[in-house]
Amino acid sequence: MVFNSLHYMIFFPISIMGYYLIPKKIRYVWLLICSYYFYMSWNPVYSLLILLSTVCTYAGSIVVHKFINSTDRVFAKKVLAAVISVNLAILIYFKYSNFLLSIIYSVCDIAGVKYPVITNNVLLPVGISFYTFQALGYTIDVYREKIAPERNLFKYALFVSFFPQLVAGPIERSENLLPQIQKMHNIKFDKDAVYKGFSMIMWGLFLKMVIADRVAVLVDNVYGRYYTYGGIELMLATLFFSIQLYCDFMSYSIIAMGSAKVLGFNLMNNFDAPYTAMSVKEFWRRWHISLSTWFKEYVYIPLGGNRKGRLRTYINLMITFLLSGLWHGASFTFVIWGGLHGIYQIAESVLEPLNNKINKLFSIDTKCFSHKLFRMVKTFILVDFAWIFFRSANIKSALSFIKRIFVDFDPWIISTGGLFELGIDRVDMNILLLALIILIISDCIMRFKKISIVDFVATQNAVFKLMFVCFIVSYIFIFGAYGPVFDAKQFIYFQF
Amino acid sequence: MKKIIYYLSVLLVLIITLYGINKIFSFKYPDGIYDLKSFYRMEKNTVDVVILGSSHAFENINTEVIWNDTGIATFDLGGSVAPMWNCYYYLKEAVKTQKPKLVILEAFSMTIDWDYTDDSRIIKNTYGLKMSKDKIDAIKVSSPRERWVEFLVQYAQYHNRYKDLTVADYKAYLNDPLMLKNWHGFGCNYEINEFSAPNVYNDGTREAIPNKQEQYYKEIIKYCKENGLELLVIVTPYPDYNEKVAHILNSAKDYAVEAGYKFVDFNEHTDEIGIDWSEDYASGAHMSYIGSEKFAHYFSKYLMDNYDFASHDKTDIKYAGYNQAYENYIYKAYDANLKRITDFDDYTDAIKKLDENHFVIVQTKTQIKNLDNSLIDLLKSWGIDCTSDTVNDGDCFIIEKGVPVKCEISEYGYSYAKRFGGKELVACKDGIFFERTNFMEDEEGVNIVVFDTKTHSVADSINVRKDKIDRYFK
Repeated sequence: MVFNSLHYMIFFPISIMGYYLIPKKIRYVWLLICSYYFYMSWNPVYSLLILLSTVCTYAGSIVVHKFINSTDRVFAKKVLAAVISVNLAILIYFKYSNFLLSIIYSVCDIAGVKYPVITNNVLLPVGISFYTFQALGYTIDVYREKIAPERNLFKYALFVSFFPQLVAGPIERSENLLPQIQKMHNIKFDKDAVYKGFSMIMWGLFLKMVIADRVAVLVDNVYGRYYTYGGIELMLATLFFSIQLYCDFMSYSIIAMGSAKVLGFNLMNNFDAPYTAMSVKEFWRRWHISLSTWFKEYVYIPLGGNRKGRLRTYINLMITFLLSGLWHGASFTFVIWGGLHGIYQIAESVLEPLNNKINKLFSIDTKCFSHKLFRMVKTFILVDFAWIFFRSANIKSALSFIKRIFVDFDPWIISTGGLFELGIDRVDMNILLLALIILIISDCIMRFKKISIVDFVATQNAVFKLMFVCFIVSYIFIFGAYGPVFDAKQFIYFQF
Repeated sequence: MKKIIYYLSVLLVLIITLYGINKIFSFKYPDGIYDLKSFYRMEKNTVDVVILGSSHAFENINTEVIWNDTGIATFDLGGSVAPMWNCYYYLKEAVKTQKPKLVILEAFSMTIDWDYTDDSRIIKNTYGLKMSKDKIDAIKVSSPRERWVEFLVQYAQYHNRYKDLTVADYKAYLNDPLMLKNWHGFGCNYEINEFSAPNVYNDGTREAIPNKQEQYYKEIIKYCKENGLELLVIVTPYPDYNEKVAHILNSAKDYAVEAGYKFVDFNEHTDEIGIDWSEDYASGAHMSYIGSEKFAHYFSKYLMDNYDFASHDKTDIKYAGYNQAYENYIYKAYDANLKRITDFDDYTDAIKKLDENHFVIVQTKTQIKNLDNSLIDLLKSWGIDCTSDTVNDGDCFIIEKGVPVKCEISEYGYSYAKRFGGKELVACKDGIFFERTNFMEDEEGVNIVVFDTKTHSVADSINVRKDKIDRYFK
């Protein structure tokens, strides 16, 4: 069940009605049933996996908490390690077994060792990367005594499986979501919150159905047959992929936040105008915030963070980003993508003194608009370049893709109209451009006013609000990618 | 309180906006959706004969000529390749607002063996129905189970028509109110193509009617029996008639006769009808306006001889629409006849004899000295003084009731401009524009546009060089 499907449009109102009509004390039971129903609509059997992860982390946290205060802290650490191991083992089995096998086979090939070919044909359970990390984060928080373990198994199960954010995040922190679940019986029907929630859902659907799914046509077409296209088309496809990924992923997060908002919950913001970042370091403070902060808190800092000298900081950074890349997919392309981001940040740090010297030498005003714009564009180019690896089928394709951009540079395609034959014709391009203008305005509002477009519109006069809502809804209805011509495209991050 | 008013305002504006969008984007096919819309506009219990079937019904049975001949109010309630199951639901829909004395089923489509038509036909044959259980049932029987939701959520089918919208989507009566306001489902073909008579000998062999078609054919018969409706099953004559079709229809005849209804295959009566295969057809299945008129005369007599119809008083205000529809048909046929003339001399005669409903716009695309003598004679015969001072490149003349008037360029920049039923006709030095189409050929010579003030359309447009007519109808 995807957010932009008829199934969800029937499921969600029913879940809301039940939530507000049933006795408040058993609300969590209703939401838990809804959440499992939501997950089982993907694959009923894999709900056992999420149940296993839930029970494992639930029981493990209680045991950890019991021993953390006693003299047997070491035992608590062992239990924590066991819980982490079990959950990661499940994740590795379903997500990385073929990847690991391919590495082993490559090593055997180099060493000349014979081996039986084994392939794991099991399907990747949807959302496994997300709920596993969410559950592990909770367990580690219990170990760190940041939060007391939840004793009610059903409430805890709801924390792990909360349907708005179950399949593609945001990866919630236990100190944010769990207390809300524990106090959900106090949540009253708030029409403003409900209105805001639905506004967020509409905004998310606009990003997904009008922008993301529209640019996806061109991206899929060009990346699927990149060897028949020239440099300009490949650059355009990469630019569009950056838009597709952003809008697709952000839309899911926003719809998740909006759905939760309708139910009276506040989820963390996952995106903060990332393409307005002026450095790659800043980009990671704005992109997939729940994941980047998770890695920071549970990987980078435990490794030592930046407290153990410069070299160690860089090593920790690389490890964190290589793992982050691997989290995104069981392929070396993702590892390279993550590694590139690590290298970017190391380079930024290493070159910072030189950069400052140059600015001083040439009296460059770093606070003026043009310099900020330059840094934004530079950061975007670096990030977009790395997306090539993220999107390509394998490393060879990625490198060939990059080579073709320079070797087959074809600027004449701009005048021949060939750019409108890549999957998006002139009419659709105009529709897309208008939508992108709105997106850019939204990101500028986020960057400079530090509020979302939904909140911004809410502060305007009634006529403007009304016109904006009607415009967005009409735009989705007319230009949204749905109906028999389109498949409801899966959100990209479901594959992670 | 303010917030509640705001929320309600948002809801109201959204509903109105989405309603408007839905109205613009919805499908408006004349061969299945618009005919139903027109049927719903008919006053209750005014239709005597409902004609069901595929395009063999609604392109071959000329309701306007039947009205003129007999005073019987018929309605072509067909759909594109409408299979029997769609005909069945159309019948059920028809009797909700009308009490037809006769139901005619054009049986050709029952010879096609398929469980489901293609998507466009599923849409054409169901989307015109008003929302009801019958509509839902019609969609369910017309489409595979796994696609029911896809077709039931109509808006999802047509929301992405934003690239295909035309003026017809925005205006009432598909931007042709004169023709369609009093429309009774007849889709007249003004194109003519030459065919030869089918060489079919019907030896009475029976071939099985395809299963699903047979099932719903029986349902139609049963429905008529249960509701006291008289049924006539016919097959209109057409060039692509073949033996397989004939054999299947033999089986269909058995069912009709068994139920006590008449069955007539008019392919066996083409000589009596007087079919001229060289001009009576637009395609292998559909009659031209000439053929439909001929068939209508014959069929009218058949109806009057075999059924007890009381002709309506043509002055009855309830049937003013039928009178208007017949007049519209005559106007269109007149224009179609004009378009058939290819000989220059015959054409100049016809132009001179145009009735008062037409006027001619003449635009010269050359200097008078370059014009052929025959053209100069034509212009002179219209009363246009042809000298190098009076006729120049780009000059425009309006000839109404035989009187030519030279159009001078006005202060607005054009020579002539007039609105006909909301559509604008403009003549200027760059051409003769109607509904944004330029009817002026950019070749040296004389452009002649014949405009029909009754149908609010360009009846004909030709470019004449020397004595050769190049017709380009836009």
